[in-house]
Amino acid sequence: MSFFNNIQFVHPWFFLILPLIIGGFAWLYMRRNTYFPRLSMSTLQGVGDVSTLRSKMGILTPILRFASLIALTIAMARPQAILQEEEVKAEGIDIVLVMDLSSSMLAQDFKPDRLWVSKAVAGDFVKGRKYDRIGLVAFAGEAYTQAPLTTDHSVILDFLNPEAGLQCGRLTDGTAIGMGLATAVNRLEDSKAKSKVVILLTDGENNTGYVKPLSAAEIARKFNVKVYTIGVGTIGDAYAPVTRTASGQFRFGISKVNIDEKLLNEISTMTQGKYFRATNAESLQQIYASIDKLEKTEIDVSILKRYKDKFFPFALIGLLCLFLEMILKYTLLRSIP
Amino acid sequence: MDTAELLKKVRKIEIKTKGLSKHIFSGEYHSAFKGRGMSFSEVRSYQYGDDVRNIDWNVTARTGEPHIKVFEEERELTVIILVDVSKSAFFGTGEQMKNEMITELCAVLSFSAINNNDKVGVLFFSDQVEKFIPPKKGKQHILRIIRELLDFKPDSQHTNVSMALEYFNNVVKKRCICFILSDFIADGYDTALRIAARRHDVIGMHIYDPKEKELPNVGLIRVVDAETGKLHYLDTSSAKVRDAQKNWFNKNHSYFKSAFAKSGAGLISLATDVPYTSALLNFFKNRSK
Repeated sequence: MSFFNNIQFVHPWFFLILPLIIGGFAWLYMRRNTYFPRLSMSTLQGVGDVSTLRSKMGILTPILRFASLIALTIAMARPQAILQEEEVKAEGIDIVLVMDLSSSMLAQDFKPDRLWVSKAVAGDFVKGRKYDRIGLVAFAGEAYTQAPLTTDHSVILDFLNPEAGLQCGRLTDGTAIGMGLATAVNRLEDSKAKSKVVILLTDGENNTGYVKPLSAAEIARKFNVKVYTIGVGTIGDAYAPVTRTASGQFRFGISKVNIDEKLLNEISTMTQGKYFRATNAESLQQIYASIDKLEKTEIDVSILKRYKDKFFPFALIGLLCLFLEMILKYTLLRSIP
Repeated sequence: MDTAELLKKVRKIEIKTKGLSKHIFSGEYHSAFKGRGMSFSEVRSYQYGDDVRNIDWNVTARTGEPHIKVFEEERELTVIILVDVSKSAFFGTGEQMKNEMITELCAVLSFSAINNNDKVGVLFFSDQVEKFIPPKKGKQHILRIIRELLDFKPDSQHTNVSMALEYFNNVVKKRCICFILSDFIADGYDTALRIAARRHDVIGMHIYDPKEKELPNVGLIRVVDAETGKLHYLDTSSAKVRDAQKNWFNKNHSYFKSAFAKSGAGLISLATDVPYTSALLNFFKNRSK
């Protein structure tokens, strides 16, 4: 019941009358056989059980009086609805998440695989950045913008759903780091935010694409975009897709984990970002946590409270009951004595 | 009620009912209730038509004139009045409440009884025996009965005629005349009544209010059952309610009539809005035939 949410009473001490009213009517109820003026009949053996609508309504007048007193008491206590408004003045930053969708992301050195973990952890990160605009760029052999910068985080979270969301194998296979970065920077180009951040997550070396990673980094620096790079993958060998069968299924095998750490490091230092290496899910979480800490947004939340008087319906009910009682008492329910 | 007021009321009833019993009921009462045995009263000279068996030979021989013995009915009957003092009698829509009428009738019967040199006893009952005043003669005794009746506060509010009759059967062994003054809002008293009527001369006097017979159409009324004390709203504008009351009254009344008629007891119904004199007179006349 939304009506009863956020209700406060300006004069709650009026409720002290309530026990008096209830007690009074309880007393009346206990003494109902002797309190009211009444006629005495020798016996009601014949007619005591015969009732009509009108005789049943005989007890309505005290009930109406009771209801009206209760309602008027509530009205006197002056219930108010509080309308709370949060005005948030946050200098949000713009973040573009760049996700690697190459087939090697299906490697199972992370459980269940790298992509699943990356999406889950990134999703948690997005949930924590309430006041920032976030965009999403996916790349493999080519790159595209999955979601432009937006504050509608549920859209982003849909794509980062570990079970559904982004999938491998939709794009030409390969790792075009430069293309991914360039697409992300392109998105941030017109941004007026104080701080612009790209979080680039990959697990391999740049091996395709017509934009070189370093030139993309150069553009990023030009537009004051900070690039945090994350390398995903254990050190050594991993059980990863090696080839594809004729039906398009991935065939898995042991292959070496190859991350171009030198390149990623260079990109991040060029743009005043930072390079991280994630070897398992926990370290990936810590990485996102530290990025979260590094990119603090200043939030200024002011709460406005507005009050709306709600006594009127109660006063109306109370007066209606009172009038109804009076009218019935002198018309339909007029009784002798 | 303080004593002065009480005595005033007693006096009022005395004056009213004494006159009634002396002038109107005296003969009727006497002939309505006869004693059993005959007792010798006097000797008088024989007149043509007298039964020859009653000639007192001793006196005839002494005086030389034929004399006969005259016998008179043995009077000195005992009258017990069973008075219903339950709450239901505190009801009246006319000049008199039912209990006032009961008190007056009780006084009339008592005075009539002492005028005939009969003994009068009273038993007050509700659903228990409230008080029993043993039969006695004398005006003082009657006045005491009236005073008690006016000032009596019963312990119980309900009515149980059967129980009163059973008590009466157990306590009074000698044949007597028994009046039951009640509104008879009760049932299941036919067995006890039959036993009582076999030995005694029982007369049931049913006192009712005309509005009990037929409820007036006055809209909604707030009423309590005098005996149970429960509050009810009655819609007297509804024919259903009025019919229910009428049916109840008729049922109750026909039970009263059949119970008294079957057991051979006398019965009389008196409404509070009709003067009881003529009804009572007719009743006595019918009995003495």
